[in-house]
Amino acid sequence: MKYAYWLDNIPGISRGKIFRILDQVATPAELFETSPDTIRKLEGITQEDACNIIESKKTDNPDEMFAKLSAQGISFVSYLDKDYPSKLRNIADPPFALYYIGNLPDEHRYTVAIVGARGRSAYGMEITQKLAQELAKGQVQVVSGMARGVDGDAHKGCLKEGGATYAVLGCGVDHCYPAEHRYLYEQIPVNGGVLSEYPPKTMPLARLFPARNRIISGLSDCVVVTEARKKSGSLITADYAMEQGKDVYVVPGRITDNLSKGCNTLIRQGAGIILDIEDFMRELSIHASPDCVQMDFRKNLLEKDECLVYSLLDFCPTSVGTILEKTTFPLLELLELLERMEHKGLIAEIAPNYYVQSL
Amino acid sequence: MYSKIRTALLSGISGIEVWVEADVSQGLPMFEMVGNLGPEVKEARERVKTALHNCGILLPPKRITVNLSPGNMRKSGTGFDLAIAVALLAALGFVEEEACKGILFIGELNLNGSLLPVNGILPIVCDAKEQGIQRVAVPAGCYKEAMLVHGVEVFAFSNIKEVISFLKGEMKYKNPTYYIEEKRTSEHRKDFSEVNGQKLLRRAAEVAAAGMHNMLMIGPPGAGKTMISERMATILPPLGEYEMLEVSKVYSVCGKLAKTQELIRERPFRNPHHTVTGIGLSGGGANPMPGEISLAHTGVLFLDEFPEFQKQAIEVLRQPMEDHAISLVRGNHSVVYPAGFLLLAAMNPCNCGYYPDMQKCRCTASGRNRYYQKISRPILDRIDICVEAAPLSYEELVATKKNESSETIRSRVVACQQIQRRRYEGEAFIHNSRIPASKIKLYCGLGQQEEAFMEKIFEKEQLTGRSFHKILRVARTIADLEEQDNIQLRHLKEAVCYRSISERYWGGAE
Repeated sequence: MKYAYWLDNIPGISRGKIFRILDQVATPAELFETSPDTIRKLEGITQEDACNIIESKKTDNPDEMFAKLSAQGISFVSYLDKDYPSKLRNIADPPFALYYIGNLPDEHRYTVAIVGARGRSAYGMEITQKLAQELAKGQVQVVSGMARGVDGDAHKGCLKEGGATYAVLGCGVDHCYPAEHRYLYEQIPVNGGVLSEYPPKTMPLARLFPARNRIISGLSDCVVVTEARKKSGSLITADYAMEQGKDVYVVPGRITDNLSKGCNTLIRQGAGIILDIEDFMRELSIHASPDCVQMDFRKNLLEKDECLVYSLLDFCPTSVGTILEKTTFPLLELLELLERMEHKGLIAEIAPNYYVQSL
Repeated sequence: MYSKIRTALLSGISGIEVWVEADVSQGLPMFEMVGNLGPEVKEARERVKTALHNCGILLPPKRITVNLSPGNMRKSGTGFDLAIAVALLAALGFVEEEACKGILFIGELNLNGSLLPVNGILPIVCDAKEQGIQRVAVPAGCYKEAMLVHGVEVFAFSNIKEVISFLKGEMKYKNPTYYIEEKRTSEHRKDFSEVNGQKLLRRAAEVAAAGMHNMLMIGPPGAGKTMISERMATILPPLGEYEMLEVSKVYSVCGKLAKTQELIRERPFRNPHHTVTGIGLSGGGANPMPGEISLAHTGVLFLDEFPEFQKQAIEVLRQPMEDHAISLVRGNHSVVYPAGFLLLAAMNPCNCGYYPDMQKCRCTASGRNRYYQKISRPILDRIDICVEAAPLSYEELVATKKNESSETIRSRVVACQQIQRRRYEGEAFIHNSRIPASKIKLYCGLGQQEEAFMEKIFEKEQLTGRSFHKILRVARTIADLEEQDNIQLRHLKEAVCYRSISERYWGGAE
């Protein structure tokens, strides 16, 4: 294992080259013992790569390197190990190795990836969190990318229920990117794990991110896109999922909403539609918890005045000023109505004086 | 022969007593001027010499010395020309010095002897009156401005010849026959009744005016932020005599009174562009001139596109917002201009203007945070009311319904300010917005129910001590508008609605 780690950290040796080398040399340990002449004769790598390997053999000590990695609390698994997620073995271009903090996903549990836009709407946030929460209640593992927006919401929702959630990063697992997700970065490994195919100290570079999407979809049985613009990174994940033969589900949206254009496009391409969370859970043959079924009946709790204000609200944030214009309530009465409804949990104030309906 | 003539030096918005002494004695022919003179005052020698020459008065080949006393003050400005000329005439015996006694002379000379108006006549005449001067001689162009000060006899002349014949008693003094157009162009008076919709913003504006709370408006362009700000002055209480004079003095110093030559009777509205520099706001220059904050004295300073202002420029506002005046120090002298203004600022919710509507907003969390970070925190701390301006719909825009007029709102504001004035008798402040933190408990006491409510809000909104106090001050004003002695729950609820934008929402980390 430590030799695999050594091999994965030689500069200039990509995973493609590693697999080519391993076609010719049985194990990384054997490669470490091989004479420089033999290494130079390996096919599929350049002379420069061979020099790098020989150089690395001289200077690096795999034992020491591996001990250091373990000391950081980072675990390592390579394609050659039996712990390597079998789901990933089946995808095209599997990662050679995975670095992780916490655990790897449980192979026997159903796993759903939830991805979507970074700048999602209040609606996207609500629906993602709710979905992740329900999945967690149904003992489903949730995989996502810990990015801003939907990814973060998915982890957050799952953590709320104490579920197992896994974040696949586009940088080394020792980096918390984005920095504001420090809380998620610390909480996710408690029941789940933070993983990455890139060695520690890899910086979050834009070009690394699309590639990690294949791992997100690869690790899961089904991919859900809650909100995505027309050209979104989430669509890359959905493409990978379709290539890998996984189910893709989307949350449909209004045709005028920019943040639903990507989702609606996926529907045209044949993705499954989430009509409501209960329906989705049934399709996954997971028993839904009772409170997600009742979502629509809560309106009955409203009084007449509240109903009027509620009907003016939307999942798109509406300001107090706007409601004031559209109704005849004096400011104070309106504020009290809003306060009452917020207390009942029917609406939420997402920014000062901006309200949305809540799920 | 020796003579001594009274004139004045403009320093800030006050006129300082200055005497021009002239001495003509035997010796090598020369003309020397002393007394810590600025370059434009030194040039007065050539102007006076030539002007007198062109009026048929030849200076004799004698040793002429002119001194502007006191000598420790830097003299600047062109208003000394007339006094120097008169001092010379008196020293040379063309006019009797006795005739010039008790008259303050001010004005700039042209080479042909005609008198040009100078800036700052109003403060100079005003202070001269306080220093016991009862008669002033000014250029004809400044006649009306000088006449704004009651109890001073004003003589206005259009050239030096008139001055001579007046001083010789050859001519009976006649007021200038020309006059400035009496009727002011019937300019459209702005009124709150023209503002459609924006109930929340209108109400916030009223509260802001009543307690003199600085206000930040957040909303997309075209929502009516500028419109409301322009009309803010019409709902503030009318200017008092003293305030009128004070603000007119500032405008006089800048030469902005020259056109109308009337007192400024309405609170000014200043709307500097966001490229303004710190000096432009604070005032400055070698001879410090008033900046935007002083021109907005007693009125409204409106900063549109608030985050776009240079940070250094905005930071300039900090001290004047506390002191209501700005002191500009230049080498050997300092000048104080009044700067008591109500700050109104306007901004978009984010770079693209759509936040928090994420269907349209394309700003990233960090982009929004950057936008928010551009606002100066210390200035934000001094802004009590923060309100959003919703975009107007077409129906609201074209509606012709009658809205409440400025006059009605103003009457409520005036009543509210009177309550405050009575309550803060003997205090150093007169408005709710100025209650210091140490006296919040005394003036903004809460009942049990109200305490409990504020505790809840404090937790929920993660308020700081400062933002907590801001809510209480605003609640005090709302209670005063209702003429209630105690702050009640509903006042607090409304005040909470005007709480400041916070990092929590604009900082990206929800």
